[in-house]
Amino acid sequence: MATNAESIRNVAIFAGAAPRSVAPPDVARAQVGSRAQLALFWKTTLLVVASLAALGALVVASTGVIWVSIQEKQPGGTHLRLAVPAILVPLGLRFVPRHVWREQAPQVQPWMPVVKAAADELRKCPDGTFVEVRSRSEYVNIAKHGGEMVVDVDDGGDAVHFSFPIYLLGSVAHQIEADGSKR
Amino acid sequence: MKLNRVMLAGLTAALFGTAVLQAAGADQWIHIKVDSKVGDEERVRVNVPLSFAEKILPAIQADCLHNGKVRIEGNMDSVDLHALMDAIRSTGDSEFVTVESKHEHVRVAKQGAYMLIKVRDEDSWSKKADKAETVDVKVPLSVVEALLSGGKHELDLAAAVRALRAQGDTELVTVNDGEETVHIWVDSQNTSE
Repeated sequence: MATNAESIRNVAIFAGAAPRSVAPPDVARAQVGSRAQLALFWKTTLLVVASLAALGALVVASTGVIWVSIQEKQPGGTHLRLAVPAILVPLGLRFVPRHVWREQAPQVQPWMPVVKAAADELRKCPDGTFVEVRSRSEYVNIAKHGGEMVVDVDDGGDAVHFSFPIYLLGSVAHQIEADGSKR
Repeated sequence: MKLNRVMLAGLTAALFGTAVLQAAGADQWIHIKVDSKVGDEERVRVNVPLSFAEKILPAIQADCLHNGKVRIEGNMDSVDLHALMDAIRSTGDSEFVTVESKHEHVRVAKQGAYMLIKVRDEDSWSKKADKAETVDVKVPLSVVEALLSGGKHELDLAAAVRALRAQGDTELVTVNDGEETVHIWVDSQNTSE
């Protein structure tokens, strides 16, 4: 019964038929309390989401990003830009189907020690352009900048830019070796 | 005044010492530069740190390249490369091969710590461009020795790279046939320009 009375009073307050001041103090306090709880809930949620986003950004920043840009040079050609967190590559490799591993393993496995050695040594190498091919119609550049390998190819029709963190080479090679031996 | 001179001398010595230490610590790069004057006028530049090559070569297990060593195909039983190298090392500066013809001059010689190969082919001059074909190869003997330090039928590329790294700045190959020039050398710069 008391609940019904409260509802009628709330409706009256809402309609302006009854003054707010007539609401009993405990009901008003409860309403304020629930609003404060709701605000606290949203604040906490926001804080958690912001922290997760900051943590994610920190992980992506520390593990690097793979940048891919493909530009068709003809008029109206598409320009595709892609930034993939490097950390997703080893994760993605876990989902490669078994039959793909079985087919590719014999070709890929013998080169994994080379890739691992290259990755280890590239990290220690000073920065510089390793390969540059330039002609009237083509341009290819493979360079190391900081902890990244940068590949630029321009064949007159398309311009491709690809960069990736060097550690990724070693990490992927290790994983391919390990997964290949398991599967 | 005397104190100033001593300080200046000390400073110069310190600067010189630092420069020497930096040069010793700098990584050596092998450079390959190809310039073509024909077709698309292609320019190729390859710059590889020797430390990188040294680590990568032993990891490659390909058809004839294993553990940084290349297996020499063909019958090598009649040629003792090690004895040949010993003979070259023990002789003084001399010309081993000289071929002179109307249009071609070939010279293989030892000069100091280097093996030199010079080819001048004027035959190509008349056919192609405005210049005779020239080939100049200058290989440090230490590198040749390292190359032959493997088994009888193999060339130790990894050891050769190590020797090349220890050699310092070196001109290795220059080829010019009028249409294309190829230049291979080693220095501590990371660019070939």
